[in-house]
Amino acid sequence: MSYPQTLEKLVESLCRFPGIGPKTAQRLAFFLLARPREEVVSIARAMVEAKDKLFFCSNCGCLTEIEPCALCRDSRRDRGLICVVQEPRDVLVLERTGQYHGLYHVLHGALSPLDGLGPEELRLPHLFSRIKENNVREVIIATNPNVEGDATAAFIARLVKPLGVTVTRIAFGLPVGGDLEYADDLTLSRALEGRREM
Amino acid sequence: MTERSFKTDALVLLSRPLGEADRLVTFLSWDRGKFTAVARGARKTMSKLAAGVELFTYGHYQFYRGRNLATLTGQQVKEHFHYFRDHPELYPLGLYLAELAGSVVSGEGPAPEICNLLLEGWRRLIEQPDPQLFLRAFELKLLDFSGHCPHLNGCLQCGSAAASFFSPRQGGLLCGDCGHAADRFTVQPGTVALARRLLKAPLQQVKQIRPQGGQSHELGRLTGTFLRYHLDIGESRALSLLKLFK
Repeated sequence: MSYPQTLEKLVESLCRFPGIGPKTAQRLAFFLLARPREEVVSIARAMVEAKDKLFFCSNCGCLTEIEPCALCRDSRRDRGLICVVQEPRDVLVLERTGQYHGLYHVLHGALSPLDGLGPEELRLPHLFSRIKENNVREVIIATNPNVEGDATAAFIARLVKPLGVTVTRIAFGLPVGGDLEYADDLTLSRALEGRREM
Repeated sequence: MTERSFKTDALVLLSRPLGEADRLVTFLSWDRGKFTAVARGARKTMSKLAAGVELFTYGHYQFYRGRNLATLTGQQVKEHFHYFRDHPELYPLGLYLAELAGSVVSGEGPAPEICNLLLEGWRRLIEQPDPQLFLRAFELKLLDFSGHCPHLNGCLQCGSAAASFFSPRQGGLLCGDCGHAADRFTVQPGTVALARRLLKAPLQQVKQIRPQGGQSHELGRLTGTFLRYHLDIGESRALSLLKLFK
């Protein structure tokens, strides 16, 4: 038996979400149908509102509703410190730690020739102009610890160091709660390199 | 390939994010050629698969083959080529070697020579005083192993030793009398000798070879046009990034 056309359209639309297959989409569709109309309207409205109101801050590249974003406007934040991350969601993750009080710069990706991502696509020229104009004293590179992220970090470091700015990379090591025996050689060797005195 | 689970030594040619936390990984294996597998949860920090599915990795892998793609179930890294992470100018070159090796292996048949060549290429790239010459040596050897080696010993039509033209479409050298191919271009005897030397020498000896002025550039034209014609390899995306690193 085929579903009514409206239901099929809903399932198809939900299938477009990442990680959602036809089965999950079907389950979500039936969940929505079982909820009161007001609740479904509020979910749909939240999606449209987010799409309409959110954009990337022209200064740091974070998601924001106001230009410049709250992080860039906050006068309590250390303006001599810029943390470079790959994606806007990485900002939220770092903010959750409550340990960092500087500014951010979102690249929106990492150097990846096969995906056509070069320095121009990564907002790197904008990073360099921010460093030059704002007396930045340290750039913390927090790109992902994979080949693309590390190559991007090395590339940024090479261009930023001549500007007289300290360039640091977030530490590598073992995840909290992990067993040593399952750690790979590269992670272990980097953890040993980055050991600290107790 | 009937068994559902299998083990193999392989090189990681490509690794892309998939879904929320997975990776889609293209492997080049000694006994099973080129294939793609899913590494579930490989982007999570606690994943036991994460280290083995990074680009520029050589390891021993275990897979389970379901109805569609194979799924990676275990890995043991044998060699990580860390230096690509710290030398951004070598990163596109390493990618280019992977791109080339992947382009000559199409199915899941054994590819021991191509695997050995790529592994050796990744090992030796860091030592090269002239990485471009190393790429040319790699390209020539790859063409040789894949059965597309250009004819570099005299005119391919009459056998004359005085062959001073190269035609990618004809597949090698031509003398002035035989070759009237539209795509032919002049090559110096020194460039041909260099190409022959690079074909014979093992990759670890390439760093000792010193080309003379202009030979390296001419050889680049020779291999580039030949690769484009015979293997349908267009402008490499990896090499296009190299220009930006300079």
